[in-house]
Amino acid sequence: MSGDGEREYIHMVKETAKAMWGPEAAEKFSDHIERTAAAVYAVSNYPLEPDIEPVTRMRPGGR
Amino acid sequence: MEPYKLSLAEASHMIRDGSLTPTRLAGSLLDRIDKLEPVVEAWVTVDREAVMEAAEAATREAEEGQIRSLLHGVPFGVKDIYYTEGMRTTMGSTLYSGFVPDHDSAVVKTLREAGAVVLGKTETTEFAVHDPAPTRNPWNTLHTPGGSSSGSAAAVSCGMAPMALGSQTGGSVVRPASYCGIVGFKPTYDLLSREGVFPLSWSLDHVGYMTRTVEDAAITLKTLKRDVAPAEGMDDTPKMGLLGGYFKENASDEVWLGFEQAVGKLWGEGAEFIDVALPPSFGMVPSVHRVVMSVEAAAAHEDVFRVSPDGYREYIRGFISSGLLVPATAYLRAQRIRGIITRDIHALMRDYDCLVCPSTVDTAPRGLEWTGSPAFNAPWSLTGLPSVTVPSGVSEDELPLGLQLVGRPHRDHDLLGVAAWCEEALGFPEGPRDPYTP
Repeated sequence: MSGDGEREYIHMVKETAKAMWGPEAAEKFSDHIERTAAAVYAVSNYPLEPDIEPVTRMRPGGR
Repeated sequence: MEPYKLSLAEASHMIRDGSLTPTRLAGSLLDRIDKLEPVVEAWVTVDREAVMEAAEAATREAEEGQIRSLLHGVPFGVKDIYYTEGMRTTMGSTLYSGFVPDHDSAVVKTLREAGAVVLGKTETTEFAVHDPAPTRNPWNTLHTPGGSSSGSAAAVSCGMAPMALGSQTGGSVVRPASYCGIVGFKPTYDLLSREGVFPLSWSLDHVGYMTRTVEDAAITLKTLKRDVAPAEGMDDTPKMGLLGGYFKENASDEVWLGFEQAVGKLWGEGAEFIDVALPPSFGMVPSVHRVVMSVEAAAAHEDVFRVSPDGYREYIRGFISSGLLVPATAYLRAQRIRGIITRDIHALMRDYDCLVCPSTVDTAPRGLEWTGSPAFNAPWSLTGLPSVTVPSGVSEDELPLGLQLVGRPHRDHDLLGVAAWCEEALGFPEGPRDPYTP
């Protein structure tokens, strides 16, 4: 995810919400859905620390 | 003096020296509740008969010289997400309006065994999130007392109880305590058992409580947890790390002005302040907190939510819905980033007795619909560090301001030691508040 990725990701999550709960409920809770999706996007793009983080340390090619 | 006006420490002392009976103390508090409850609406359940029965038992024991603890015969309020044996526990939700647990939560059990008396159950926002309780702020009844421990904060503030249990996942102890001009203490994560406390977000939920003085908070901690490390003692005056940055940028003008005045006062009394730069990872606190809390809340509620979504009020319904959409990998990544944030904050604290910042973004908002922002408290819920709010002054609108102190993990008594020093230096009046309606 890069560039306009946050907006695209939030749009994708809102579409998923519509499919799960219907357009009315998705609209009613759109503020929560947007805020949580934005938080997920931020978390997903924050660099971890390969030196100290056990999961990424096991990644092939990682240090 | 009417017994309801006594601090917990004063009442405890008088019960032990025989100049006050638990029966008289409980009667005075129940009368105070009868008088103020129509205005403040802090309680879900008060069983007068059960209170007096327990108080009379405590009185008999005291007369026989059997004093169980410093809280012997002292009544306390219980947030309505703590299980209480035989007493309705609603979680502030219609879904649980008739739920009566068959056992006590661990901390309620400990307090009862210590001779303390359950006064009743205090109002909470629905499932301790944001859909508001009916409770009003005693400092100005047109304003929220904050949440989610709304009833506990208001009850302690206006002298209906000398101590009341709350819980904090974001800012649900420190924020309402600050809004109501009292002391709110959130110990180190997991220091006090969450057994029998309805979960919101298990890795963020903290058992905490409100009192009117720091001494009362320390006495309560000693009773709840006997093996907490004792205070090591600071030098004559504390050395505090002053948090600006995020806190200065997000505080309202009057909160920041009041904070600077409080810091100036403490500095005048000899406290040392050093400006502390927050680590870059701190910027991730709001996102990480939201991901962790929304997912864990969704998991805690998933089964009931799928069957009865209409049983939930609007805010929590939207919050749970959003948590159900978070990928598992994002939740795990959030927990991993949380570890980085916690490590960085711990490193920051090494050179200070505590960190200090305002307790809240703003003063208690007008109206009851919004219980205020937890933005200044969530970092310490996320990192599990002990935090306490001490009343520090009032705004131009006569609403309370609070100073938030953050301590090292498992050095809770050290933190309360610094808080006691600040409380004395700030000299905020500690008596119960008569509700004010403009």
